[in-house]
Amino acid sequence: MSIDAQTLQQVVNDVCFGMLGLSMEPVESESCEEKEALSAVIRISGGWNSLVQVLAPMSTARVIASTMFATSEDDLSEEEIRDAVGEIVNMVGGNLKGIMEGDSSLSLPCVGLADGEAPFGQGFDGITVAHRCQGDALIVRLLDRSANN
Amino acid sequence: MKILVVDDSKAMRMIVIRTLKQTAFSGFSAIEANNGAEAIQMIAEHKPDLVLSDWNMPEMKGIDLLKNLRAAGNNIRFGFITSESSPEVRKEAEDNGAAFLVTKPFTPNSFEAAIAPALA
Repeated sequence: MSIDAQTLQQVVNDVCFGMLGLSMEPVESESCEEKEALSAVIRISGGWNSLVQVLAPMSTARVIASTMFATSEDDLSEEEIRDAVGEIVNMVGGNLKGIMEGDSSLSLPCVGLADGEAPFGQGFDGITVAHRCQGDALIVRLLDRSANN
Repeated sequence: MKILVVDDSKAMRMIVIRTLKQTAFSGFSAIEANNGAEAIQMIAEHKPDLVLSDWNMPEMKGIDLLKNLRAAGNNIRFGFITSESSPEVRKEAEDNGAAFLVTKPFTPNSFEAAIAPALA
C-alpha cells in the first residue's frame, strides 16, 4: 500500500478546508522559490518511513495562523505563525500515518524558513500537491522512503 | 464543568476550546497545559472534570500522562484529540483507560459525537 497524490490532496483538503474553512483550489504546480516561505516537516518512522513537508509563503502562513487563532494577521507573533504551520503538517502527517498499515511513530514538527530543496535535496522524486489556499500558494510534499528502498 | 486542554500547540488549544463552545457542552471553563508534565501539575492544582489531551508532545506524551494518572489512582475522565488515529494508537488509548479519541481534523459535529458518550 502507498499514498498517491489524490489521497494526499484529500488529506490536505480535509485539514485546511474541512476543519479550518480555508478556500482550497488544487493547481498543477506552484512555487515558493521567489518568496520568503515557511517549511514545516514531520517524519514518520517504523512500519512506514516517510517525510512530509508543508511549504507556505509567509502570506499563506499568516492566513492559516489568523484562521487558527481567530485573530487579525497584524496581531500574530512569529511563534504563532510557525505553530500554525507546524500543526498543519502534524495533522497531515498523522492522518497519512493512520492510512498506512504497520506500527509507526510520528515525530514532532520542525518549522523554519524554507531553504531550497531541503530537506529532500536535489532530485526529489516523491509526491507534490499544490493548492491556492485563500488565493496564495500552499505546497505539500511527501517522500515515501519505504518505496525508495 | 472544568476542562483541561493539553497540547503543545497553542493554536490547537484555541481551536479545541473554540470548537467545544460550538457543541452542546458549551457550559464549561477551560484551562490549558503545554505538555503532559505541565498537565500533571494543573490537574493537582485545579482538579478538572475532564482532560482533553494531544498524543504527541515534547516533555511528556499524552499516553504517558494518562498512564501516570492511572498509576497514581486518578480516574479522571480522559480523552485524546490527535491526528494519530491508527488502530494501534486507538487500542493503546483504550487499554490505558481513555474514554474516547477525537481525530484531527475535526468539526464541531464530529467532536461532539466523539465526546458525547463519555460525558453522558
